[in-house]
Amino acid sequence: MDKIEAVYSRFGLAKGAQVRAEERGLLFYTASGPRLFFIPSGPLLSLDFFGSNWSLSEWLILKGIGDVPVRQALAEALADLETKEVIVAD
Amino acid sequence: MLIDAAREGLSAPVNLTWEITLKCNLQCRHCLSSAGRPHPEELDTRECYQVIDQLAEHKVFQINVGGGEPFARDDFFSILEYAGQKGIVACISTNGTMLDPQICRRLANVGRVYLQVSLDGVDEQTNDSIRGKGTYKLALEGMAHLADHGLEFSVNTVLTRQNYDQLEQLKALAAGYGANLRVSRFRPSGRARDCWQDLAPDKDQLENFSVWLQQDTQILTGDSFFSLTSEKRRRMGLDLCGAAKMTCCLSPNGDIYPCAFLQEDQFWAGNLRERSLYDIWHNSNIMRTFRGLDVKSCHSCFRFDSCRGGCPAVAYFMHKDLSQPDPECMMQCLGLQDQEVH
Repeated sequence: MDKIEAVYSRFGLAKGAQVRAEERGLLFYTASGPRLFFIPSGPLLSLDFFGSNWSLSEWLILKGIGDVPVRQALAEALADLETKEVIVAD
Repeated sequence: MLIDAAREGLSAPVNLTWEITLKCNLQCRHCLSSAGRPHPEELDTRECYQVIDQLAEHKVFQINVGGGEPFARDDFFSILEYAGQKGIVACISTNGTMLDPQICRRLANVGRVYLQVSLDGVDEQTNDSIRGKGTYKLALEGMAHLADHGLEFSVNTVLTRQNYDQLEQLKALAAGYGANLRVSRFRPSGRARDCWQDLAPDKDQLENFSVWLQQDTQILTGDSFFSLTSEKRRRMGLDLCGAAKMTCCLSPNGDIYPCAFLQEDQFWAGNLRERSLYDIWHNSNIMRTFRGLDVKSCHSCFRFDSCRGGCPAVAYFMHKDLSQPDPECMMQCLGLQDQEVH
């Protein structure tokens, strides 16, 4: 998945993956490995984004965030997590 | 990024090393916990459930259960099942000698568990000289039962002077059971202090081991060897000491320490019978001290960002000083050259 696709995709957690919120972002865990992944998303993404009906694009509009570089950085991080099978696109 | 967040202190441990009992049917020479008899004040079943409730509340992802021998505890399956119900992944370290078809059947139905079976030599002589007479045969029988039940496990070998040249064979032995080999670091805590001189790998062995690890990325090491890890293996595990940053240790009586290898009075952070895990994790002085550890003598090393001085437990037991560098560090102490980096 590339970052453009990631902007318009809806995401859920992959099987066996977990996520929790930290002050600076979201911490993901997958039991295979096990492996840890951190995205420094600050308050921009919350846990309920995953498994919601919102794409990143829709989510950011909902939150009133229109900053293009922010959107691209988040999309890149999500695409990377999808490639690593931590999250899955619906 | 994760390392930066961890140094500032995560909201809770990522995983908890839980020495669930000191009871053990073996008396391994290098046991970090000096296990054998149960601790007189071990947490009971209800208290273990309360611990799990706290872990679940703070989204601690994983428990690494050891001891002692976890299966020596009568209520172990109840605790394991409760953790599974709460979504906590359990990784169990066992000596393998108690694994029979009945236990394996139960394990197969308990949820997400991963097992590590300890084996410290590829033959009876090497293994049993450390773990006790007859343990090699029993561990292999246990591994066969796990494999028969389709249970995922790894073979865990503590690297010693005696088994250093058996790693390839141990890897093949593990593969015969469908398992990976995990190599753990020998650290001078518990009974291991008494046999450190006999069993600790020497400098040449550590150097060769580092090269071997570099060549074989299938070998698991957890966070054992970040001070010896080549750049090629970076990001395969945690590249710094996770004590008080990502993990901490719960001892059988509810005591919390930054690390399983530092269960000494001076590193005691609190007890779960008196304080919550959240309180201890965030507010105990020893946890804060560990998050702020700074091995200044390593600052000039170009690998400092990768290992940050190595393992404080080994440094402490060798020098009685947490601010000293890991004495088995690849660069400063072994004086090796990691040519990949240049």
